[in-house]
Amino acid sequence: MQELVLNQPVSTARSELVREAAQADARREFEERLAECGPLAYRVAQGVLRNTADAEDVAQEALLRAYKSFERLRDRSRFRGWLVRISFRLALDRLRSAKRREQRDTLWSQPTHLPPPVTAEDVAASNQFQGHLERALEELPEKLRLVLLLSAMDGYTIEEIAAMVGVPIGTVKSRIFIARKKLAEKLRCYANTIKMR
Amino acid sequence: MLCKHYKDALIEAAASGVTPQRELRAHLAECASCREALAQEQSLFAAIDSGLHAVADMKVPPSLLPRVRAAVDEVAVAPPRWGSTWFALSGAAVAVALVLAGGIRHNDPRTPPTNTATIRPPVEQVIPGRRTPLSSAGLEREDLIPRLPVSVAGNSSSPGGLASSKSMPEVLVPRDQEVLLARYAQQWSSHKRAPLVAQGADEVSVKPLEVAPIQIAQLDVKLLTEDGSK
Repeated sequence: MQELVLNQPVSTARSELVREAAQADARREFEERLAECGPLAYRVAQGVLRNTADAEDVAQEALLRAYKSFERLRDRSRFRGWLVRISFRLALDRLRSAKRREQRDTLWSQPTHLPPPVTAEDVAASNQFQGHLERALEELPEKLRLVLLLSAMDGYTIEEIAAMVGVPIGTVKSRIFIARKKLAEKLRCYANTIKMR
Repeated sequence: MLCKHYKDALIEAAASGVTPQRELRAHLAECASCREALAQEQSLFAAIDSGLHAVADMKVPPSLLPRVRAAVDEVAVAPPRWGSTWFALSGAAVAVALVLAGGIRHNDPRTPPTNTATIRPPVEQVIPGRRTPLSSAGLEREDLIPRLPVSVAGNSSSPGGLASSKSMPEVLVPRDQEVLLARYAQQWSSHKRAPLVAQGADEVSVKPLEVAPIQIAQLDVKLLTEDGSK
């Protein structure tokens, strides 16, 4: 009687070794990217959320997704741009949750009752200015906000920001300019710096 | 010229950080109020930039990277996702089903075995409606009957063995295969089964099984009842 024998091919074990070696290489490369871009992911998230714990959660989620998609993100510039965008998107999603919004509204409702400072110098010196700035930043359109946040971070040129966001350099410049003007418009009402005759 | 005319130019100059144009510079040279307004605007933008740096360049908590590494480790050692698991299970189920089907087919005397290492008797093709008793081919039943299950299935475990039948079985074959069957039976009866065994096959595995003749006890004849006679 013929026997049916299920033989495990030798190539299976070999392919398993090859797969493990590839995974180790990917892990090593990812570790490099993690050290380089991990802080960036956190800062983008923090710029949106302004909450350390939430920003850390978002950065972790973004980096984990980056690891899962690392095969197509091995290129350094591509990885950074993808990470910035996904961190920004995840942070916005978290910010939009109803519970967080309620907490945030409670938090931000306090400074508005305080009397506005008189001059720009006073605004800058005021402890409330940062809160007003962050609130104004939150009200910016998303495209402007991301570019402005990246431009405010140390170490990134306009060209790098353009590569990260995936838009031309001129677009980055114009977005930064428009964003700063919008922020100034919102904050000027507190400072009333322009006194025209 | 009124200072209101230079409002936008002042803001543009403060926002961009570039040197004001010649006309604005000339106005600023003679208008202290606009110089003060420009200074305030520049101060405002400086404060904005400073605040943005504070927002954007927050200190990264030292726990971030270890947390990410731990999460990546969990992902790396985690079992495959449900989709791939389901795919693997489905594949295994299909493989087991195929193996079982192959085993049943291999052991089924009614099914012609596909492996060349087994004997392929021509008696399996049964065509309903064309019943041709084997006896009509001039064969001796006692030679053929106990050996057919052995030659087909290679073991005696087949539940459909002819020797276990209560009545004398009939092997039905198409008319065009009667000659082949007769030749096959003659070879078995004369123990010349070598041509039917593929080369390389284990001789022991195809050794005919010796089956004792069927012992039929004394028949107990009963009369039919009236209901049964109906």
